[in-house]
Amino acid sequence: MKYILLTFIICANLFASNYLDENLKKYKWGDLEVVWLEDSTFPTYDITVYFNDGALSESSHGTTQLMFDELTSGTTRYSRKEILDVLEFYGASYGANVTHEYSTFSLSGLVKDIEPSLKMVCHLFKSTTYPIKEINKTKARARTGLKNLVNNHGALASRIFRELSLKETPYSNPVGGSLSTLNKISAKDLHTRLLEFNQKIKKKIYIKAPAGTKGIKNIIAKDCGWDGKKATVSVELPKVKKKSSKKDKIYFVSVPNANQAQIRIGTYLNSEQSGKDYTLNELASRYIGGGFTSVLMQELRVKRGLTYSAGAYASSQSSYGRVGINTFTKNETIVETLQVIKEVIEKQTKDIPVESFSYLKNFLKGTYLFGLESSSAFIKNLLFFDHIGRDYDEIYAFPKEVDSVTIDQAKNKIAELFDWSTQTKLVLGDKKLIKVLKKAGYSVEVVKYNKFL
Amino acid sequence: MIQKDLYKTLDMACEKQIDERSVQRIKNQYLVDMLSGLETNSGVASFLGNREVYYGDYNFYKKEIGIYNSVTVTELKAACEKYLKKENSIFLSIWNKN
Repeated sequence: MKYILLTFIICANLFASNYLDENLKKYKWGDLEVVWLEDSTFPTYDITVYFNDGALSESSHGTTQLMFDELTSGTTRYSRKEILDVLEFYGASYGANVTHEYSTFSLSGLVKDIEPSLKMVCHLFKSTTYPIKEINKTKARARTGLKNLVNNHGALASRIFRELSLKETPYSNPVGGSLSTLNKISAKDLHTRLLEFNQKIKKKIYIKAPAGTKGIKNIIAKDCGWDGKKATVSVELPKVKKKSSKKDKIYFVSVPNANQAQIRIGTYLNSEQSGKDYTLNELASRYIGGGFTSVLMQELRVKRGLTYSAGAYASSQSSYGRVGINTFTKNETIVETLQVIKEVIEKQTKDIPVESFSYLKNFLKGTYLFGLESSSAFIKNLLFFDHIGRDYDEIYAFPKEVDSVTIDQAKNKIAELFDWSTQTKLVLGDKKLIKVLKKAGYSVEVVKYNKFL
Repeated sequence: MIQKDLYKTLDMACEKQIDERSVQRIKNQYLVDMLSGLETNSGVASFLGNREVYYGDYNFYKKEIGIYNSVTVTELKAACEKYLKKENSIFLSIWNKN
């Protein structure tokens, strides 16, 4: 009897299905691929359209972002006010996300109102005219926003850091464009880009809605005109090669009225690095700067009072990735802070205590699952896995993956990702810091912030 | 000037802005907000906790949707006129003196 029971338990575990096994369905609507998470928990829906093209292929930087942002600017039939009135009436949320490699457009709302909301979105993709008056107003707002960046030192530092740290790659420009490129974009450019996305660019649809929610397939085919037959173009993503050594050079950005210095340290992952070791990269970067118990927070804030917050990240796209550390400090402690960051990283490549490594693993496993709770986050995760070629089963394998990482692997990964000699280092602050940094032995290259707006 | 415009808009809001469509719009938006807040464990805990604290019963949500759905244009106009009055308001503005 004991053996029969044991065999039953083992078999039950072997064939136990998870949420994805039970609810995920894949369809072909014509030639259009559809991933549908059938979930009846709530009478709501989330639809995300994946476009296999992003900002990389645009002729003028910012065109794709502006094309999506201004989908509600006006169509052949409706004004902006009327469009917003319809979507707000149904409580629909919508928005686009543009990266260099791909773009998405998402719509969510109540199942009972899916038909009018989705039809309106399809109408926008087919009939937006980008009225010149509306586009000029938006461009003027965007220009004002960029000029005001000088008052937001954190955002300005991150913007400039992206360009400098990725300048050896084709992925350095901000997807939202700059003052000079926004000026060049015309309503005609936006319309041309929209036509490309609507008619040529390959798409994939991700849905989370109760099984059998009516209307989606027909509206996508008839109103949006997306059947996947003609729209087969995918952007070609250039490979990113190995990075060069940066030594102890610091890019310095001088801004007025700065009583704090922003610090950005980081580099890019080449194509080979970004396509592997996802869990190990996550673990290494979280150990350095993920949360209050991370080594950077403990060493910089708790032990020395040098900053209020410090964070580190390692993120991968399909053909490149980014690794970095963000923090800030008082003008007086800039040299000490840089030195501590350098020492903290070097120390972790030699010694990681068993106890804190164990805490980190538990923290990582817990936060990973909480990050997948909302339906939009879960769908985005599936979409991103498809984009970078990962298997959905890796979601469930993540806790085991984390557990299997050894301290030596983590130490080696920290050394590989955060090697001081390969990091681009940027300080943004008061110009008097130039002298201070030079005196501390750094080679300082001064860059003007307005060249990056 | 802004104050005058603001009060003028407020005066007209109850009478002109509240109609069947705007009431239905608010009901739709309320339902979406409520359901999207329930997608996380933390959201469910807050939702039930709030009902227990404010209404003395975590099960109150079962009646709540019905109550919201039963609100009429007339009731909303009456509440608007009762609370959104110039006499009940404080106007605060912060200026850069330069």
